Amino acid sequence: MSDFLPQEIIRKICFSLPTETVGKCRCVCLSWNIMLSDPNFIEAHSKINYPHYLNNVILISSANTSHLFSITLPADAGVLAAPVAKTINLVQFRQVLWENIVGSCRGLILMLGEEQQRLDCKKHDKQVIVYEKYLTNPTTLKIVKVPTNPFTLDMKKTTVNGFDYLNLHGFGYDCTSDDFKIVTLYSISNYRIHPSPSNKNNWAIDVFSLNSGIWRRLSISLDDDYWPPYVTNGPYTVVAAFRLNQENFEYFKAPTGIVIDYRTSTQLVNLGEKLGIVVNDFSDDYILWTMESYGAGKSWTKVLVSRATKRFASSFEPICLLSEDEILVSLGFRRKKLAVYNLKDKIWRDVLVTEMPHLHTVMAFEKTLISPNFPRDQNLGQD
Amino acid sequence: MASKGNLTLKSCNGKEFIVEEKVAVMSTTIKNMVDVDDSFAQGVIPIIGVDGKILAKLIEYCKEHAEADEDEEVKSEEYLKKFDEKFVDELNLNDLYDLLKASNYLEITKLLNLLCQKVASMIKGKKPEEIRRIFNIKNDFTPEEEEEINRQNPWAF
Repeated sequence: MSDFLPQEIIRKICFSLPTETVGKCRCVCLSWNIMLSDPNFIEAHSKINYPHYLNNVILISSANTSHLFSITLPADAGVLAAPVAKTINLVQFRQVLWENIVGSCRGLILMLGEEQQRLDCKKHDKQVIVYEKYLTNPTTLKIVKVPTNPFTLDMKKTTVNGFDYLNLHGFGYDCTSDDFKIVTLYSISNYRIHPSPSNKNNWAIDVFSLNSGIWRRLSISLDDDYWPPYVTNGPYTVVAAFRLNQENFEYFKAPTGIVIDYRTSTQLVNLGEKLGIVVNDFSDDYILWTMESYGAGKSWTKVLVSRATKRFASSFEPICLLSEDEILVSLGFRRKKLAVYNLKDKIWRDVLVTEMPHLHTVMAFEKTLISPNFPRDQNLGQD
Repeated sequence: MASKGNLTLKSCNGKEFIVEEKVAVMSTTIKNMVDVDDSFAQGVIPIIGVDGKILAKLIEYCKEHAEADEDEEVKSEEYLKKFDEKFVDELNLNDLYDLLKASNYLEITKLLNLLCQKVASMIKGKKPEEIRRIFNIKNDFTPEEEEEINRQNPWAF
């Protein structure tokens, strides 16, 4: 038998392993466990295995239930065996009722939820229901509760029909400062109830940094003429994008012809490396545009036009790109389902999942070993 | 003595190989030696810790790839892929480990990556005890540590 391989070679081999096998390798021996649990290894493993297309999704089975599932779709469309929906068992937070999944980045998922007891309390007191935020890695089943945003505590006094009117959440990774950031944006008046560009809003923007574990309120605000996330500015509709590194907004031209008014629904979607917009004017077509080159307003491309047939009922939500040509979409209203659209051949196929749960919210994610814990260890060496 | 444009490599058990310089400098370690000290280019380069059998394998690999790097027309990407597959498939476990160590020491990045991929494919999805067997590793966890480690990583199984 050959001598043991040196640690540096073992480490290099493990960079090529799928996330789950790394977990098994941690159980091999003491020195492997130390090496493979090291934040430097985890960081490098995630970067080396960065997927251009996602094929894992996390889903909440229905609003206000605590049931989370994950599904791994076969990367190869030719595989016939149906994937199985696996229950995600987050031991520490069994009592939480999940409301929504609002962000996904480098294997971490930002979710909104509330413990049943506290939810009942809030409803009873007619308080504004501000859902708590949780960060989880659905691969390694680690989960943490994000501290309540201290700037929103006073909101309990100003109830607006019991709505959670912290209505915009974002989650992303800022590579400049090697930090994950949660961004919330809310207004004093509820734009969902009185949407109007002329109705001036006071927008507050708060950022939670995972490196520091602290919420900050930014001194910047959106231009009053702008009304996120879509803003009408003269003849153009504009998309406001928050830059995580500079912590300010930039504005892109939306696809030509998109008009924001009460007859149209528009939805921004994150398709991995591409930004997308779904437009539906409630009459017939769902149109999906993608920004082929991020930041370039001229690069919007109409990739999918679909008649709102019975197939779509009343919802059409792109989830992720499975490959260059295939896009995963959730369709329907009461009973949503997953389907794949081939952009090249322009054909649909259903996604068959064994023991498919009811489907409320779906989000794609990548499998990494990155921990949701904060404050994060910032003493990472270079790899 | 190697003629101009050729280098002589000597294995740890005394076997000498005359190879073209472009083949030998696929190894960053050898490239650095030759660049820094001209006498290496004239004389014999000792390859410490690598025996003749493994050195012959390394040279076989580098030859194919050096020629392909020089002229893409001669050897297509597809040809190289097939060559790589056959190359790693024919190795027994001992040779695989020895080649890994040698390519790491000699910094032959392409080959090192290829061999790492090969080992990764061997342990992908395997249980810890199977992985221990492949690498001849002893389970050195105390029962308490083992319990803790299983509690931390149930998601992997």
